[in-house]
Amino acid sequence: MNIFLRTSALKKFSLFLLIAPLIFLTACSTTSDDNTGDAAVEDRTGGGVGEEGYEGQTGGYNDSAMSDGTAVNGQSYSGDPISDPDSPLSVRTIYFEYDSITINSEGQSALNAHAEYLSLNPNKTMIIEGHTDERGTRDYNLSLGERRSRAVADFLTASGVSGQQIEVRSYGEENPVALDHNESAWQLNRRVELLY
Amino acid sequence: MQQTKLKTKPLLFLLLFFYLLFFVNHAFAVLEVEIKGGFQSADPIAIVPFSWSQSGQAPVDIAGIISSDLARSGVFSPLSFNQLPERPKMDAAINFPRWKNTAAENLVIGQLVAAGQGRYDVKFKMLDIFTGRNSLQFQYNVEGKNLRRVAHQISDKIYQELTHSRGAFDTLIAYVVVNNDVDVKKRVYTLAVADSDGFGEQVILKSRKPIMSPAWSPNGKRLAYVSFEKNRSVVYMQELKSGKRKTIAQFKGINSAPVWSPDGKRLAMTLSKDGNSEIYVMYIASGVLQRITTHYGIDTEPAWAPDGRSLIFTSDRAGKPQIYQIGISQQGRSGSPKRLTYEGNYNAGASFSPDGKSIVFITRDRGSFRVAVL
Repeated sequence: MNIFLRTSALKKFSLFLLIAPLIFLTACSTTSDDNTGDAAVEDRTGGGVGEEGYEGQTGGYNDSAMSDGTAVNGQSYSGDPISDPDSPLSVRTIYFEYDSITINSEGQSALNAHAEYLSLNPNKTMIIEGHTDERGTRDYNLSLGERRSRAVADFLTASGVSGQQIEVRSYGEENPVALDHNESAWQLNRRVELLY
Repeated sequence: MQQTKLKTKPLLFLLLFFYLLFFVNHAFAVLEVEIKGGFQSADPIAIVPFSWSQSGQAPVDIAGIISSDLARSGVFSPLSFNQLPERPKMDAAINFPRWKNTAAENLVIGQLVAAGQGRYDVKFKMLDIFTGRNSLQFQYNVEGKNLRRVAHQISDKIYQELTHSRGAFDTLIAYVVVNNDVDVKKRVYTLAVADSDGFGEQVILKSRKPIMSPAWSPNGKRLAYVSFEKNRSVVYMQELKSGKRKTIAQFKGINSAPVWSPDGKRLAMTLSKDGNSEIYVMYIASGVLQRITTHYGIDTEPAWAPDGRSLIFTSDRAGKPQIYQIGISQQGRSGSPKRLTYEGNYNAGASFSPDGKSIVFITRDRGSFRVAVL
């Protein structure tokens, strides 16, 4: 069996598949105004079951809980090193190549610092959140995002971090940080975020 | 050649449907469904504006809806208004020699009559321009709110008559709309259902967190989908009419890619509860779960064969994503996965054509993603 692309027709059609998200994105950016309500999730289908646990927006990216930090030996910074902008711990995003789960040397040195910190602070926990760029299919990307975050988790546990301290999550391609459709946006989106 | 052409026609529909699950234009309140390209050999067809019994404008432009439906299928290219040599009424004599000078092979004429108390009579017929034969004729009596639906049903009848494949105009589509705001906190994800041409949108779920992978139950009464409202992927099933919702899978790890078996009793989906993404089948009524795949690579995007006896899925067990097929029995998997795609290093998101003879999937070809048929 051979893959055959229906040349003129399907090619045009698939070209449209590629450019349409662009149209879609630009078009939709104008509709954001009418969505200023503060309910995180709104079930519009009357009579719905009383669904538990509609959570509000997470603020997990802030270091709001970091004021109770304990100083770690050998640091000139006087607070918790997690809040020190000069510490390798300030690196909270690990980037990846296309369709890859390999952690580069830059990522490894950041993760070594996080591994040390988590080992010294067994009460601290981290959410490891995997993301992909928009290319490819959504469900495959969801799994790829999980493999990225699992690769980071494996690196940390191999460095002595307890599995109890980390949680692996994936958002696939659903939560891009850069919205353009080019390599510079994609490389920012292929990432694992370390959330304390 | 003719045979191949016919075979691919329903596929375009499938593509359209698949595509709409993901990208829709939401610039206005009404969803716009637009398809660029199509078959080069689209058949010209003449659809004459339906006559209307009252003065003023008809409540619904039935011929306009039919024309858009047929044009959107990519299989037909309706003549423009100016190309129509005459606009015969339902029972008028037709000047066939004039029609033979057009590119059209078939002619559709009809009428809309106000029947009182908000009801309408709709009549139409299709004529073969070369033989003068009356190939289709139907009439309807409906409430005003169902006139658009009647138009879609007429499109289905025409499509069926001329292509011998089932049309999908009188159907609903489900899709997710995202306003991709740069500020993550301002993003809103909307799961909605609309007529196949984007009219009559109904919001099913709105969330600040991603929603993905809506899947129809075979009877069209329920949707399964994935929502991140609990900050991780959870599979839900929702009844459209009542809005009643049930959590199907919220195991540790990802819960994704739900698809209904053709008998409507099972859901195939991807769970990573046992370490990494694997395909499972769940009996909806009992919750009994059968693990289908066992591999350290990614296994995801299951799709049922129309006979319910196998699943195709995406796996990167050979290094890069490719399409595989595995047998399914009442007891779970039967046999081992068989690889279906070999060309290229990215083949994913496969689904079967309704006749089960072809599969359509996404392939990466020199950096561009395309839709391919196998």
